[in-house]
Amino acid sequence: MKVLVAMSGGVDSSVAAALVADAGHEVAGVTLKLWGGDSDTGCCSVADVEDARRVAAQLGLDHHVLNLTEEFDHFVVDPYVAAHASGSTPNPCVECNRYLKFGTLFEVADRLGFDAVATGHHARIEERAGRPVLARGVDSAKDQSYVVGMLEAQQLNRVLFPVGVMTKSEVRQVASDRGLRTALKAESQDVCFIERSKGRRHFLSTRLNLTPASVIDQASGDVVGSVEALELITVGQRQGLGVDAAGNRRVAVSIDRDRSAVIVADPTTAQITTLHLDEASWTQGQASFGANGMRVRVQVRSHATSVEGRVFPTHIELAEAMDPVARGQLCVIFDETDATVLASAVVA
Amino acid sequence: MISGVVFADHAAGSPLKAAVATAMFEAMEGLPPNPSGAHRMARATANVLDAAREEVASLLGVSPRSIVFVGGGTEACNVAMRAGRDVTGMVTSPIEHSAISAAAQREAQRRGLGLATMPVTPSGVVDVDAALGCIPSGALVALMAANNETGAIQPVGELRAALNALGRSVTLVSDAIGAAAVMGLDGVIEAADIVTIAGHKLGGPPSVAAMVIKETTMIDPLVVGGGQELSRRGGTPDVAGIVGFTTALRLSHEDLASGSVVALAQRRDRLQDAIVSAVDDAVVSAWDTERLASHLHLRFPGLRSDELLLLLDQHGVCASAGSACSSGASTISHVLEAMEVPTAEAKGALRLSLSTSTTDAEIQEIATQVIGAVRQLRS
Repeated sequence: MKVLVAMSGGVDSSVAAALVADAGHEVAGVTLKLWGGDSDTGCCSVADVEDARRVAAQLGLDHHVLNLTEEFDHFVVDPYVAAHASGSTPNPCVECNRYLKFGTLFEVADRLGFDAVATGHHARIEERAGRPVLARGVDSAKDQSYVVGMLEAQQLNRVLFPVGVMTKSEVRQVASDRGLRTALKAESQDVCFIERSKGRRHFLSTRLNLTPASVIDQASGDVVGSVEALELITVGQRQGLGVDAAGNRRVAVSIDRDRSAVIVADPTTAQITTLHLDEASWTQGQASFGANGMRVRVQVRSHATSVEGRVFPTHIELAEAMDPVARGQLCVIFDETDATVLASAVVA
Repeated sequence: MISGVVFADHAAGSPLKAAVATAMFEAMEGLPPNPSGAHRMARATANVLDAAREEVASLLGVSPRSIVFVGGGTEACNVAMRAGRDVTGMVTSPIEHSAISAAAQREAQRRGLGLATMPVTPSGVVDVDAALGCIPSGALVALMAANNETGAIQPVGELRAALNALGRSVTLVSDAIGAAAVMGLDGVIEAADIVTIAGHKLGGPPSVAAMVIKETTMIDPLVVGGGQELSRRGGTPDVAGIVGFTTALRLSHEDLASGSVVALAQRRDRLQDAIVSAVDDAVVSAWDTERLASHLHLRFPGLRSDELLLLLDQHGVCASAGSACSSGASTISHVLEAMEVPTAEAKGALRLSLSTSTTDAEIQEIATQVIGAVRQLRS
């Protein structure tokens, strides 16, 4: 099989490339140049490309660079800005996976005659009843099945996640044993196109007029504070919104753009027990809900554990109340044992 | 040397010639690197340097004092953009290499000068008549000898003549780095106050370039300390590299004199015919103007350069999109933008750059692989 390995210059994709080559596939490494603007996060930097190229050379693989900056702007950066402007909270890494790594890159792989695309994501693809199923990575601390949770069955047929069966330390060990220069490289955690030294506020301020907003208590309707920029507030956020009379941090429950206001509540009343969904996509086939829905586990953030709930066609009833979730967040629905992805949806 | 591969990226840098490496070793074996010193060993190295400088000067038809060796083409261009006294403004073409354009921007800012851009025609040639409108007397003007992407030869002599006719005195810089391997530079050297030539485009080492500087031209050195090169470039000169540069320049001149370059142009034309006749909508850049014999720049509407290059690479053909940043990612070329090439065409740019050593069989192989790759991407 001809496999194109997306090599970011990090340790996971380095080892992914090594394992795919070990398996006897015909492999080429490719590094995606995604962000063309200023950066100090190291992402998409010349140094990362050089790391990827060097690792590919050590593994005896060809290495290429694809410039997808225009697509990245179109599918990730512009929507990120637009989402902030409209009061929802985007997850650019999810959108990058959706449109770039498993979108544009697939199209490129097709044109270039590759059968599959491999990445260094910590997730597994298993087979259930003759169809591929997305499962959590072995290393629960590094599991990334959430950020690739939008992959459909026909995409999973053409994806390889070689390091999903390994723990991070095993990945580093393999890299170290092979003398790969990325073995000890630190992980990138930040949004790659936002300069660490300047932050999200600066980035958005260059593309949006940030709106000062008042903070309004949901129960009383009183103005209880103000924020510098409505666009920087995320539903569910507690930071920077002050404390209520009982000394609890207030929680943002909604963004009211018309009134330029952040609506807040105390932590108990802010919590939700129902999650409304848009665009649910059932990767293991449409579920049969029944009158009481179906027992599932639900994850709404990259680095969060899942919670129990019952899913219905357009909403989820949560077993326990949780902080409100911003509109636009990816909601990944796992089976009740929390092992495999059943569906992905967007929080409405 | 990697076997089974056709190298069609000479414009990025031509592989080191064996004769060059041999000359470098033979000239410097047993000699100290530093030509400055109060002893016979240093003088021996100085003699090697002097002989190299004299030969370069002779090949280029200038005096040895006019030649300043610096540490590579980008440095040469950076220094050139610091030239001139009481400069009234800076003017460049929009198709200059970034070694010139980035330096021009920095220098314009540093000196508090305006930076104007000369217009180019859709063929990628500076329009001299239109350019005169943006060149004041006393300006520092940069116009390359030939464009490194399309190969289009630029009207350096014509620009100087037109400025002279208007009585406008300017400092004229011409980056001949992309041109020197296959183009006689007499006209450019006569017209320009500073001409830059780099070793690695000639099959020489990459860390050496020569600046050909008219004796009346003021230079503000970038690297100081040591007073070398008549205080125009500090630091111990790379004498071995300079010998390599000199040898490579001599070999290029021999190619020009022997007719090898004319033969190269014919092979390039055959390559062009083969590709254009197989790919209906391929557009040849600068087809209607004088081009370097080494260059064939094509645009394939609707294709993406990086995919085309990846396929060519997999099939053993090394080529380029015309512009590559240090990461290796191809971006839309500023040259094609200046030529107002539609975006869908500019994204599918391919530069095939050859040398006099490119064989007929290699030409055939390049044609086959380019045609095959274009067909695959369109299937």
